[in-house]
Amino acid sequence: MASRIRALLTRIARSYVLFVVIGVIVGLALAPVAWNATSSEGTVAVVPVAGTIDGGTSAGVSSMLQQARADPDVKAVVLLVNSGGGGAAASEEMYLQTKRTAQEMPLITSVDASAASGAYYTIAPSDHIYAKPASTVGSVGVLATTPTALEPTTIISTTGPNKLTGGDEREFNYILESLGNAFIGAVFEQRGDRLELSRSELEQARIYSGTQAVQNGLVDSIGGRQAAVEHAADEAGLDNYNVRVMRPDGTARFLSRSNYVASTAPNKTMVSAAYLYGEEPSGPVFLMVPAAYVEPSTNGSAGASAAATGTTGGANVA
Amino acid sequence: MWRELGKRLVVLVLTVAVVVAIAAGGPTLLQDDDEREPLQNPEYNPDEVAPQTLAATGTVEANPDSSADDTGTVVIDRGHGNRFTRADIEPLVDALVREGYHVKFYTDGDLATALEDADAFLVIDPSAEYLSGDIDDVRQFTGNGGRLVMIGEPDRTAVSAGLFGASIQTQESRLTALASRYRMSVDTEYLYNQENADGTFKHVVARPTGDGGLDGIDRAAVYTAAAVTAQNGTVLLRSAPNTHKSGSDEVTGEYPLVVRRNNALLLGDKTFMSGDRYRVADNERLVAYVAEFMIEGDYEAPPDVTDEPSTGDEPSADDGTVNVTVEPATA
Repeated sequence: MASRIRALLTRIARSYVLFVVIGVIVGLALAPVAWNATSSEGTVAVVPVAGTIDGGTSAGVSSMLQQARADPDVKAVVLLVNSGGGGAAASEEMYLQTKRTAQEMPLITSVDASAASGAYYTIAPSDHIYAKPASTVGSVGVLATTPTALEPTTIISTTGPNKLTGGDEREFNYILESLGNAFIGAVFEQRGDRLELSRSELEQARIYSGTQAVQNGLVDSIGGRQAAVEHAADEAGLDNYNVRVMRPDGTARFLSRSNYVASTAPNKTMVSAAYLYGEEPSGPVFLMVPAAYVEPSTNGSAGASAAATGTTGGANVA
Repeated sequence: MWRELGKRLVVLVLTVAVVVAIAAGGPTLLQDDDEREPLQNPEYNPDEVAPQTLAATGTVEANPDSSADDTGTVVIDRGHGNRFTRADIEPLVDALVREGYHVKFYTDGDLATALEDADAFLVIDPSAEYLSGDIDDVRQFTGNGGRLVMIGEPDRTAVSAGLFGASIQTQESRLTALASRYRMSVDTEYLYNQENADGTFKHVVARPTGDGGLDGIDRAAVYTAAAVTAQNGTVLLRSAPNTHKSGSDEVTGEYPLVVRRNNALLLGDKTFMSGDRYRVADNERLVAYVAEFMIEGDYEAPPDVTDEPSTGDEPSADDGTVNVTVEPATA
């Protein structure tokens, strides 16, 4: 009896049938996963752009976009934007990232409360921009604190006359203008064929509502997030797709209460304008935000301050 | 049996090794070369993005008409809360002094007395309107060969502490009473031009009209300027095409910036001649023109200066040319 059992085990061990049976069982166990995997033709990655654009925002969004581009399953990206802009250099970095993404796959944008200034810069390369009637977009321009005229003295010595300030006010305006030209040029490069605004009109740096923006070509159509996701899937040729909402690690900071209220960011906080330009600006800070966002909330001259910056922002937006 | 099982385990281990090796090497082999292509950014072409800077060279060389006196006096108004600094007028004062002219300031007292020995009267951005007595004195002065230069500004917003500071004040050029007696006026809105500017939209480039003697000027740059008008006057300088007035973003024009009407000259900007701007473009020529205009004035008091001055209501008197003894040739 024992020898018979031993012979059977030996035969089973030598046979490949057992391994085939085990393979079938394991395969069937994994089949549902495989079925789901193959029934989806790809993924639409949703990347939030929330809050004031600073280095952290830029790094977070850049990382999410890089992940999306590197993932072969991601076939399209939707930007969910709710930002009034922020620092100029950080906004430019965001623009370069979205531009690269748009070169590789469909990039569709849905605007929540606003995509103003640096945030509009960010979404300019989108293949299609959706906004809601209450969204605000535009404010295409740059503002900065002008350096105070200073003279090297016996207290502060410099090797050159412009070391303290970087240049006089007239020269500083040329610097600011070059930043503005780059911004305007980028918007026209991306959307020139759709814009109903002339370059001069865009340079006025107005803010527009969603419906106005559809009329002037800053936005393509009225719609929400779902429309943006479906549009992205269509552009990528996906009939069956997964949606993956990516989440930034940090806290989204908002200068604008309306943006803050509209935000779905898990960690969000309101900050004062001093977050961007400091309590006492020691040098030029180039900002791509509507001036209304950086008005002081601690005094009664907010409207006049906006006027002093030469912008057309309303006095009570922030 | 154990030996056979061992062989199969070896096969299993080798299989795992092959799979891991493929997984490690696969991405490198399958990498899309296109992804490594550098991003092209033609929109950032420096030649198109960086604006062309207007040259800031040149010196003020006043060249008054040969019939003008070699010496004389220019009175600058300091009696009406005029907003200007020494740096604002230094290039002009320098040109006048080099031509042998004295510069005096009027601060208070009888204006007619202050103008008795003058050839020209310069009024820059007053914060108080002229009273009728002072206006009569000035009109009597220009009516007898003296020259009047008025420099206005648009309404300005003064921020006392920083860009986002707490103290905001609106400043107005109160030239209405004086200028209107010469049928001239200064607008309250600032001009801007997004296509022809010295660095930024409020630094408007202006061009001479060809009338009135702004020879040698191709273009000038004014910094936060107002449009000026004069009934039947001569427009000497206009803003470049497509200039806007603030608050009228949809309307563009070529707005007058310097107008002359007989012995009165009105300019809509004081900053073009400041110490750090007068060399920009051909501003130095514009400064020279203002200096020449003043130098060529030649006031001669009427025999009885206590006569009631003209009210300006009569058409024959309101142009300021009554009793002119020397009419400059450069008009």
